[in-house]
Amino acid sequence: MSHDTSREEIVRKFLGSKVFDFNAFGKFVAENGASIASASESEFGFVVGHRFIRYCIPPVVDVGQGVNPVAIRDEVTGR
Amino acid sequence: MPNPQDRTAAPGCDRIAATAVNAAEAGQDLRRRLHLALRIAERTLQFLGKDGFDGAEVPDGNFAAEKPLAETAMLLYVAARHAPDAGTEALLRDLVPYARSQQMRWDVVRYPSVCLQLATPHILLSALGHADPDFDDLLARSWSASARAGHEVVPYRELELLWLRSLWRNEEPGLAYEQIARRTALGNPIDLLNGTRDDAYAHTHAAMYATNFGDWQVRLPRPRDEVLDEAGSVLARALVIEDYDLAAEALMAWPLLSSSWSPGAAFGFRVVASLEDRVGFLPAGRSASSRIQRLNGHDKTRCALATSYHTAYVMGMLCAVSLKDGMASPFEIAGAAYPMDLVEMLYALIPRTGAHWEDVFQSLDPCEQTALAPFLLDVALMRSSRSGDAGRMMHLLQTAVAHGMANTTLCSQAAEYLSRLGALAT
Repeated sequence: MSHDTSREEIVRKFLGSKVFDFNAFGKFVAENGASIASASESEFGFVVGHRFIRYCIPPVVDVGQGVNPVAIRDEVTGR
Repeated sequence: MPNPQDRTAAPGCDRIAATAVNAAEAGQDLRRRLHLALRIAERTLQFLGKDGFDGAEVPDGNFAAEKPLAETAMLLYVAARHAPDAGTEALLRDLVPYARSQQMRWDVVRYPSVCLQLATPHILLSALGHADPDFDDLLARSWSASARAGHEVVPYRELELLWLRSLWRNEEPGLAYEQIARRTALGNPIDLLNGTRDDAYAHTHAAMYATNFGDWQVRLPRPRDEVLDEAGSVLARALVIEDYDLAAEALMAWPLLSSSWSPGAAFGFRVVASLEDRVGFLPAGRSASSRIQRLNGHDKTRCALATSYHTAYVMGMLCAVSLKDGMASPFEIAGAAYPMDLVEMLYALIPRTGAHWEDVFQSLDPCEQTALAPFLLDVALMRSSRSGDAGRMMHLLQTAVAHGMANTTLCSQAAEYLSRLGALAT
């Protein structure tokens, strides 16, 4: 069995199993608050580490009320 | 049901061929973009090459000079490898005094456990014909120190060290390279639904080092299509959250692994390229730090470059490696066509945020849009997962199976995630 098949098989088996009980899950979320199921849309996670191992990871920028990057074009490109 | 391996445009989409940028025009366009990155590199060396940057509002925004120096060397290395006519020689000469400054020599001697990383510019300069035996001698002394292995690193960084050592010693990377690659994202899928930004970077970087930035043909620990399929999901996520640094890095997977651009990858390329055209350089995200507006003169330029050079470099590297022999135009979205009603349904399920990819998608020819159902499925699955909408995830998986799009890591991870969620409520 190829890896592709096994990945689709995982999906098919899950869908076929009908193990997901929407009523039970809905009750669980209702009891625990909807926020438990959601995650921030704005990032993947956190970057940690000493600067020595952070080559190729971009510097962190605190944009807050950021400006349109077009405003810094001349500074970046020199044009 | 479309065959995902079908690389041809759908019937009735002949116009794509007529409007697609041909290979020569694409090459010209990629060189223009690479030259922009090299111009920004020239300024980065000038403004940040000596002291780095220490004016950020958050500590992680500051960096020492070794960071932009190493990254400048990488940009020049990739450009020289894949676009030898790009005119890197003057910049290489400019880099030499920074890369082998007294400060760098001191640091290499002082920090043996990170000496290879510190010597990255020296090693890459040497590989490009700018050798320095004296610096080599210092590096060899540090490399032989008992504290050499005193700084533990994660597997993809281990791969980076082997890559650097291989270039420095001019040796084949050897069996250890393959063994370490197995422990990276090349050997194991990252968590595409709930993984961290570090995980995504681990995925993008492993391919860079494993292939010597597209120069080595390597045996991957997993099928190449799986790795690319995951790169496509990383790309989709990066476009949604407008992290263009990560988007451009994810795009590099296709040329690094000498693969044809998937429709989603070609679309991603158009997104970053059109944004670069609109802004004048590829920005890291939708906004730039407002602090820049409060600065003037030299400080303003340093701050603007410090927060922008990295993404501009990644775009330059992407364009350079896309110029390697055998790569088709990255601008052409060609692939199996899915039903337009499926595309419309998937697009409608994605909440609008005003991200640039939405504008680009709307501007596409319908024939191009119909090739992007797998991309839209990825976005819809990730968005529904992030909002905790299990019902929508289930519906999307059923749709994926019905249309032959479920052979992906993201779909299987979504099924596993729902299965685990189901266990929570029992």
